[in-house]
Amino acid sequence: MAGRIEGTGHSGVWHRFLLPLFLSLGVMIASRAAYAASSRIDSQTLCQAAAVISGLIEFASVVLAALFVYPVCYFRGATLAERGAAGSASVTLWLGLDSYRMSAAFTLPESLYYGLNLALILFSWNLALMAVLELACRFAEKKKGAPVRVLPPLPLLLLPLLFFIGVIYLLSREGGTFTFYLLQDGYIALFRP
Amino acid sequence: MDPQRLLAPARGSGAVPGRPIRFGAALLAALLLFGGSPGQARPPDRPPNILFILSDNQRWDFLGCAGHPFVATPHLDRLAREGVRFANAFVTTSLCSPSRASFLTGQYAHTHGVRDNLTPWNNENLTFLELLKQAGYDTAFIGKWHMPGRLPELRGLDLFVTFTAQKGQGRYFNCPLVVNGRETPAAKPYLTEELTDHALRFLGQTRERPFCLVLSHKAVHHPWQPPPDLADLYRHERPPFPRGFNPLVFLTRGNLFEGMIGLPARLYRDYARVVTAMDREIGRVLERLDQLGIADRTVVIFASDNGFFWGEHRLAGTGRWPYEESIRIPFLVRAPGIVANPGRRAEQMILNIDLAPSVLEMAGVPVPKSMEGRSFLPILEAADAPGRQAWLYEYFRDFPFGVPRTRAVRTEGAVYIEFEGRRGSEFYDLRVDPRQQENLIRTREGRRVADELKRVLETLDPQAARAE
Repeated sequence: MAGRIEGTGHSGVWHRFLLPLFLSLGVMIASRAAYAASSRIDSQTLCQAAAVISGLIEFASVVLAALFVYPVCYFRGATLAERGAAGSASVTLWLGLDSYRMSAAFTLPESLYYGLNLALILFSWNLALMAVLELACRFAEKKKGAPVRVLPPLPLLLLPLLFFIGVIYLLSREGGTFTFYLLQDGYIALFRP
Repeated sequence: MDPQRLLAPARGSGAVPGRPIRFGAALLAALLLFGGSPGQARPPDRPPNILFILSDNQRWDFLGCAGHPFVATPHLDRLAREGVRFANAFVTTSLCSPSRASFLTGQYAHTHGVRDNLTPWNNENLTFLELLKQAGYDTAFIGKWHMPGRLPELRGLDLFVTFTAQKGQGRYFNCPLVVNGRETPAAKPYLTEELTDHALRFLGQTRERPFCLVLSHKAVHHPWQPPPDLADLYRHERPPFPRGFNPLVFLTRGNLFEGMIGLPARLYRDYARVVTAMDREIGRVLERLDQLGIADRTVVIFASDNGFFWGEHRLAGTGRWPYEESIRIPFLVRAPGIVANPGRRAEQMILNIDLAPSVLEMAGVPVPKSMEGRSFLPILEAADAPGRQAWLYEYFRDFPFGVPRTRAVRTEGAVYIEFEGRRGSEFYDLRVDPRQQENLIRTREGRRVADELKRVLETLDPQAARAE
């Protein structure tokens, strides 16, 4: 491949963007359903195996989806927005599903508060991952001789990484309890004044 | 499926209708007949000392005497051997703060107001400590308070030793204390030992009056950190995880907020180690009672504030849900001179709200009408005393745990549960399905029985219904 031109070429929007997006969503949904179904397996060994395999796949499909989806989109000519969206799709869906789970007990605003806070944590990781992947993809493309600048605009690279480091710092304080109580204090301030 | 059968006492429960033979009447008869005091006679005139030990998040089956395959709790087992083990003890709200408030006030959460771990304690609440103080007791509260809001100035307390670190959860190691309102650095590295030291000092004080001591441990709350000398205990034991358990369960579907991150077997063993460490400290307290020569006039009660899930129903951690692992607690009472046939297991259902009226009755203090529990003194005095047939369980949401507001009626043979919102209702016949795997609400017969239980629930829950 001599060079990749964003948004054009033989990779239509389905091939470069929608297919990878739906695949990552599909894997997440299927593995989630498989985990839920595993509880109905009678055999203890099979139940455990099914739960562990499907659970790990679900985890990977949320936390590591960008690792696969982002480079595929990149080298198929997806725009920055397209590959960012595809790389974040399964995280977004998972957050929506978890917020829906919370809505069985809490109101919509409370569930949104929950979901948005969780989103801050998950997206900090996902954005940092995609920033690193952008760097890696550009490097790989340059090695093939494409006239591409390896370093993306610095804010695109640094901001997600710094944000992620900040989130990790918060999460690591007092074994995670600092963040947990921060979440609760915010809830009390908003919903129990 | 017969609703009456599910409402009736279980065979062999020891619960029979009619008035129990009062121990006092039996004693009088014995005195008249034999002209001497029986070996179990209560020392005359002086109310007993009361020691209530409360653990945190300890499952009912994490006791040697409850049949745990490897957890060693020799000192708690001693209490069971020398007293009564209540095999069907429950909490009316399976969550730390509401349950603790219920123990102290003898009231349901919807009455005392601490509905979840975020609702502050109302210092207008009347505790059994205050009433005992008025009756002439020396009183102390030592340990985990964990009621939201500022530390209260509890009425009726001579000694209040607690901690505020980590929002009142404390730390197993190097936990600073608050002693009668004054912040005090940790004097010992391990909190369970230091709380015990405070208890021993209180017990050892020269006094004319009886005492009531509430010793409230952080153990066995997460993160489970045993003392160094027990760090390798149970290292070769295989945790008896439930059927259907999988190693990812602690990380999925909101269980992550329980903080149970790590190898499940390691977490389980650490939990067990902390139980044994706490039991060791309880042994020091019992030994001190023996040394002081006051064991025969001290009632010792042990319980936990709620149950705990180790993967049952794919749930982890602190109770909340109305299932057996969550609502059932260990409950031991050693009461020399009161308990008939020590060493027995009582099948009658008792609740955390029963502690306060029981303690007051033992002390000869009138039980206020505001207390909603029932004294279990009759059950201590006579094995065949009747017990409860049904009781209300309630849970109010606690952010960020996705458990809906709940109310349930638990009888000796069944539980009917109503969740607010889209989760709907559940009904389990505990006699054939003790692990609550089959929700019978979807069957026609189950629906019929559940409707009967729903009527029982409505009679038990007028307050909560009005509060909605």
